[in-house]
Amino acid sequence: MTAITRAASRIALIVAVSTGVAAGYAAVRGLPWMPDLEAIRKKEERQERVRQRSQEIRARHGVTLEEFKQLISQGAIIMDARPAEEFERGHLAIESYPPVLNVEPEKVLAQANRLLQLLGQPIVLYCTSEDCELAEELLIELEALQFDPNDIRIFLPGWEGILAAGLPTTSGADTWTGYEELNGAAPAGLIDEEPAVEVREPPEGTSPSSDEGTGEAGGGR
Amino acid sequence: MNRLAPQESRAPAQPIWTRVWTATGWAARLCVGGLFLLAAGSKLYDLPRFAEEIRAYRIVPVVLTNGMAYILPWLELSAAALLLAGVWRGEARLILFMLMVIFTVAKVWAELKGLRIDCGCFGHLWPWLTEATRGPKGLVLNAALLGLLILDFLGESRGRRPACRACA
Repeated sequence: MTAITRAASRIALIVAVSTGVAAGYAAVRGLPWMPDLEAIRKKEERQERVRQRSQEIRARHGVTLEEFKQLISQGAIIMDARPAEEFERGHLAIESYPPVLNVEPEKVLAQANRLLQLLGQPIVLYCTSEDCELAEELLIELEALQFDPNDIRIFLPGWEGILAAGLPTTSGADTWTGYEELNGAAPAGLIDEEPAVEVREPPEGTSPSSDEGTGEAGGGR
Repeated sequence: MNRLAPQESRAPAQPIWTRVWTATGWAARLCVGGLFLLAAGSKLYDLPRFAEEIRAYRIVPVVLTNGMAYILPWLELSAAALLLAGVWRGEARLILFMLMVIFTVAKVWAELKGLRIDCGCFGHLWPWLTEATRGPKGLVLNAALLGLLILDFLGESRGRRPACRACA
C-alpha cells in the first residue's frame, strides 16, 4: 500500500467513525436530521424584513448609552431579545417594575397576553451587540402586534455595551407573567382606574336614596 | 560478546535545530489540538444553534445543514485528539488543515457578502472566544491556526531523529 493510499484510508476511517458517532449522538439527543423547513422559511422572511429596514430602524430607533440610562431611570420597559439561555446566564438588572423581560422575536405571539399589557409605555430593546439583529426583528414583531414604533427604542451596543459600561446585571430566567401579579393593580396610565362611585343628586321633592352607595352623605331611613 | 564497538551502537546526538523543530511541532500541536477540542466541545453543547449558524452563511443547501452540524464537531474532536496523541498525526493534521481552509473560505464569503453573523466557531460556551473570532479578527485567528498546522508539519518532518545505522 502506498503512503497516499494509506493516508486516504486512514482519513476515510476517521470520517466514517466520526459520522457513526455523530449519528448515535443525534439519536440519543433526539435531534432531527431534516431541518424544519417551514420554521426556517418564516425566520428567513423575518430576517429579510429586517434587512430591508435595518438602516432605517437603526437610524430612527437607536439610542446612545446616556439616552439608555435616562430611559431606564424614567421607568421604560426593557426587553432583552436574546435567546433564553443567554438571558438566564446574564442580563441587565433594573430597579423598576416590571423587571427586564426576555422576549425572543419568534415567541412574540406566544407572549401576547403579557406583552399587550405594555401597550403605550416607552420600551427599549437590546440584544447581543451592534452586529446582532434580534432587537430589530423584535421591533418589527411588536409593530405587527399593534405596538406604536414611536414608543420603541433600541440600545444597539446591546449586552456587550451593558457589560462595557458597567451597568448592573443579574442572572436567572424571566418569570414575569403580567400585571395581575399586583392583584389587578397596574401603573397609572396603563389601565383606566375604576371610576369613583357616583353621587347622584335626588330629584327635587324626594328624599335621598340610602341604598345606592351614597356613603355617609345620605341619612338612613 | 558485543560485536559492535560501544560508540557505534549509540544513536548520534540530535543537533540543536532538530530539537528546536521538535519542540516547535509539539507547541503547535498543543495549541491547535487544544483550540479544536474547545471548539468541538462548544459546538456539541448546542448543536441546533450551530446548525443555524451554518445556515446563516447561505453556502450549504438547507437540507444538509443539520447533518453537517452533527458531523463536523465529532470530526474536529477526533482529528484534534489524534493530533494531540501523536497517532496518525499527518492524517489528523490534513483533516484539520482542510477544515480550516473551508472555514476560512466561508468566513471570507460572509465578510464579502456583509453578513453579520457570529462565526459559530466556538459556540456560545465561551463568549470571549466568540468575540475573538468575530469579523476580520476571525480571519487573523484562522491564518494563525493554518500557520501552526504548517509549523507542526515542519516540526515533524525536520524534528525526526537521524537514523542510527548501527542500531539494527
